[in-house]
Amino acid sequence: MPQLSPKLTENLALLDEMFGSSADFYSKEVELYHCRGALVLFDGMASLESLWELLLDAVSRRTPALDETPGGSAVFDLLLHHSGLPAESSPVETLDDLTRRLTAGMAVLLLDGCAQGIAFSVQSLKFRSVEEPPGEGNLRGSREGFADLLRVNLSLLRRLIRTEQLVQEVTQADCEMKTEYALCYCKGKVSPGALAQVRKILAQAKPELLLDSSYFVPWLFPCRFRLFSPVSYTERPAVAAAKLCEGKIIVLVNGSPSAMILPTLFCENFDCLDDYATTAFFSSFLRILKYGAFYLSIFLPGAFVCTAVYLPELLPPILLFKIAAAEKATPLPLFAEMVMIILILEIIREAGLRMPQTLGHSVSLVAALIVGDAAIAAGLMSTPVLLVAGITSVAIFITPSLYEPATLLRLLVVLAAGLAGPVGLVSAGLFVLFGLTQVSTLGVPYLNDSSFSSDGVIRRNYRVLSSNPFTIWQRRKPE
Amino acid sequence: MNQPAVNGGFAPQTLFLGLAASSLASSFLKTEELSARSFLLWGLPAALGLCLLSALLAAEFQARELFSGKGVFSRLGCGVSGLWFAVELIRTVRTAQEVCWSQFSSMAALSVLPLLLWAGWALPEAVFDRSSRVLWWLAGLGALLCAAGLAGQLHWQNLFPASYRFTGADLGQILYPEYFALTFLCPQRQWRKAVWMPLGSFGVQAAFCFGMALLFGARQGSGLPGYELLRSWTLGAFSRFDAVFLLLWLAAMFFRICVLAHILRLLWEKFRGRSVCEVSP
Repeated sequence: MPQLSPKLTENLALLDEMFGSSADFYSKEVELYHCRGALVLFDGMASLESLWELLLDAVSRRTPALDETPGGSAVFDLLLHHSGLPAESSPVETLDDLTRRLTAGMAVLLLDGCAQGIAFSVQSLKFRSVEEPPGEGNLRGSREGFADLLRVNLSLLRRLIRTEQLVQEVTQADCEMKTEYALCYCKGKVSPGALAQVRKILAQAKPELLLDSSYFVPWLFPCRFRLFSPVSYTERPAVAAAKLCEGKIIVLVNGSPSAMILPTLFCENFDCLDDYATTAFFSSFLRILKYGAFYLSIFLPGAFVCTAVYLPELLPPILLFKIAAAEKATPLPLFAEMVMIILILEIIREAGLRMPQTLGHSVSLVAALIVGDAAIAAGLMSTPVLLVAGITSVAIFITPSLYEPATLLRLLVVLAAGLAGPVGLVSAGLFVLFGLTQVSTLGVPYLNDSSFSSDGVIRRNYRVLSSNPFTIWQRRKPE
Repeated sequence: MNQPAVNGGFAPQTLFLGLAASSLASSFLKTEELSARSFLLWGLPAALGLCLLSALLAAEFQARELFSGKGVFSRLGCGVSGLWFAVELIRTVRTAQEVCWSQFSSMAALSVLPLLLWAGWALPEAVFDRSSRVLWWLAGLGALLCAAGLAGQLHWQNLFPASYRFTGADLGQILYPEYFALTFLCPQRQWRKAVWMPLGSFGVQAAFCFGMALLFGARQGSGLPGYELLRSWTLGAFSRFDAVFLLLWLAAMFFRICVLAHILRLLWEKFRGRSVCEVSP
């Protein structure tokens, strides 16, 4: 780690070599107490206006006198310790530290004859305002969402948890961009062992780039293939704060509004903040619906193919005749039709998501209507297949956090059921179960008996829940 | 952050799920005439006797450290048990395939067998324990649905008719290797609960036998297979839900195949004198 040189010219030459070609690098030579110095900052990140205001204010105050030709160290000591300048308490000593402060939006004063710099917090970073996150709809409760700046996000959390319990450790990741990330937890509630483990893994992780907290997942859960991840994400400070109070660990990365929560239980994918704002009865009803919708989205197309092709005797005769009549009019087998329509719906969804927002909705709607209508009119697809695929596509949006595994599993189940019939369907079901039960992190199984707890599928009154505070480490089981 | 897992053994309910499925299979396939009274009179004492034998052997094996993997005697014990479990695995696969063929006209069970064996070999015991809980819930739900579908069709006077005709001394018990390896299969304190597994297997078979008697009379008909009990299920327009219950049963049988494969792995490791230390995939 190269130290700053006592010679100002050498420091400036080094900075010029590093950032000189960048348009946003600003360096201004000044003279203070007859000592040469330079103010360096990045334009747009640090505010020149704030800096001059701050300096003018300092000038107007009484500062002790110095010898006529003081050295850089004496000026540094005077400005940092004996003046009214609101400088950062720790001096800048190394080049890495200087870069870190400058890229954090601070201005740094370098003095000739002194191997240390003084940093001033004059940040004026532009950032997206605190808005409601579009991906997490809520009827009641806070409308705030995380922004992109780490410091803003940390302040949002601090505003909600106003106790000494909340700890927010900020560290720089070992990556190309030296991105900062924060590890947040509640002191008395988190498991010290688990925290140390997570801290160590994140410190040792070497992602090439770090643009989101999800980039850490391969380091946290190293495996070749995994359907379900025992982490979840939120863009709501209120949700993150609630999870912190359950003893969980939150990872925030600078530049991303997604907070990673770990560990997460499977049943938490079916909870939302609104559950606690409505009656226990209604929220239990909604949770049962969500569970049903999730399993429907995975198994319905496969079960339909299996029943219609291999076990038609299970269907009531009238329904069977209708399906048979519809299938007669199409050239493809039912299994191929189902696979095709699932893939088409995925393409439409992806196109709608990636297109400009103004076009996305209309394109999805038009594509779905036209493709569906035209496919039936042309006799390429049957109505029952479209209906089943449509129901499953809508059902998965009830639990958006499980969208990825559900989509893959739906295809797997259809393929298994189409190729191997009931045996394939059962095997696929068993592998879904194994996929869920094999996930475990920090000693907490992803699929445990929380679904049958007082805040599981059936939720009890919030007053009852509050009398038995929950922490995730209660679910910890020896492997 | 996968947790290293040592061989902690299976929970009793995990082992019993496979046994219940296997016992049900013997009931499905059974065609000979058997009265509920005979089954109860012969089967219950046999099951209790098996429980006692299982408990005594478990205590003895624990005292002698038969499954410790140390010494020739222990390795021999592991080897013999391994052979028995391998035979049981083959028997289970054969039964599953037989039912798949007779009910679904499908040979697909053989094609998924390598996958099941791989899963059984690779996954840790904790995964089977967690999965068995879910499967038990599903089995309970299925049994409840079947029982509800039989409502109105059961004739209670048929269960124990006044005229009793001796229909043969079926002990109703199959000697499963699990009964005799409890100290190896279950965690330290749980094998005491697992000694009741023979009684549980008897209970499953008895429930099926009683169901047949209630539905078709004490005389089970001439060569009427056990499937007929499931086929009697009806709910309005849906009348062939036996297939759904069979699918659940098939899931439990596949689960048993995985568990047996895992037991074989554990025994193999012991036989080679290596302690088992797994990392979940």
